[in-house]
Amino acid sequence: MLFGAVYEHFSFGVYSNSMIYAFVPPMLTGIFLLFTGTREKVLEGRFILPLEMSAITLAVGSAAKGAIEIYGTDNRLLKWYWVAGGTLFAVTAVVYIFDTVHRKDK
Amino acid sequence: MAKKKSIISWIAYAATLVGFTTYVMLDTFVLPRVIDSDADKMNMSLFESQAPTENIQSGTESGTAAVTETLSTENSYKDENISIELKEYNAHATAIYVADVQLSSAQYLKTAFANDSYGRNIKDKTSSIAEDKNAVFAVNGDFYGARESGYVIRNGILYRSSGDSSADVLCIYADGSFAITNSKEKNAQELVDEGVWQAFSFGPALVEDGSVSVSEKDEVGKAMASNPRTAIGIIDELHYVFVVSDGRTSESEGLSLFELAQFMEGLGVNTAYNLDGGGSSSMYFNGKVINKPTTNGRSIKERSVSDIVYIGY
Repeated sequence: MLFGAVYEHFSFGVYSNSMIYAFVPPMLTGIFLLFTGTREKVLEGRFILPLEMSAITLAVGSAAKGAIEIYGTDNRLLKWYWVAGGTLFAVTAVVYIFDTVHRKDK
Repeated sequence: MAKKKSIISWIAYAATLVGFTTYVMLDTFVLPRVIDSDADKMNMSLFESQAPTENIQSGTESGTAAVTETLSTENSYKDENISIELKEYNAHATAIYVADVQLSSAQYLKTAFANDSYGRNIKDKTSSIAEDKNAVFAVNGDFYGARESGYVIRNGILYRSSGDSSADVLCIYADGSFAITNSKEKNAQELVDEGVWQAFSFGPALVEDGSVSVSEKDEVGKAMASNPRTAIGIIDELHYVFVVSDGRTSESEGLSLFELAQFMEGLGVNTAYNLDGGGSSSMYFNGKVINKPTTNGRSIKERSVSDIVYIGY
């Protein structure tokens, strides 16, 4: 609500999908963990750190893009949020797959 | 041990994320990045092949012994090359300021960058830039410095050749004519080679071939419907209108793009183009700001901008 109030105050009625949907990455991460049956394994394992960082990076990047869009501008550096967030997600996936295969072998 | 390692990882991650985000915001809004500090050059060679200009007061050739008197009032200006008449309208609960401009040559329709520098976050008020240039009349430009792409051709010089595929480009040729194009149709060098004197990358085009070319649903990027606006249009040869509307206040709501386009069509323009609006919208004439610029509707003050379009010598 605080986030929404600040956004309404400074946006002068201008909207940005990036700002509105900034919370989608953490939400999708939560839904993914909840419904794939991997929640406990991920929470206990070494995957949670890069997965959480990935979600936060994408959320902060989306909010930053939204703030910049509201002022009618852009920035070449914004792409690095998607690169970093995507890389962290890929690291999570690789470690998870490696761990699963390794456990099966045992 | 593992917990300590995790805490250290989080601290390092948070510091990196906060630091990077701070830098992105400073780079976007604060840190000046000068690309060309000598950006007041003019390619006057574009006008060399043109016929001598006609004195718009007397109809004789400019520079001859005919009438060269300067007539200036609160809402008009006239000399041998420039004629400007200001009018104020009220439509859609909005104050609209119109400058009707007749020139003897497009070389008097000029542009200027803040601090004579091309780059990012180099800004000054429309009135300050206009005063520096001894402009008779000025409006804000397309705020090229807020974006990373979009053609920038000013006074016949190419400053940015990377196109923005989503933006209409307004080309003002050395003969004074207007054309609307985009980066998919022509690259920036082609436009320079064709003799483009000014090119703006904001838009959209409001009127083309005398008819409104936007719909009621069209808006500038993420902008809300009613806003302060700035637009430029051409009626016929070397005859232009500059339009600025106030907005975001109880006295003046502002215009949607469609309302602005309809208004400009009513002025009889053949082509009209939307420049940067919102808090940037400013009109300057004979040393004064004519409209009431505002960003938030609460205080009336000029926003600093990257560039202006002006009439002068």
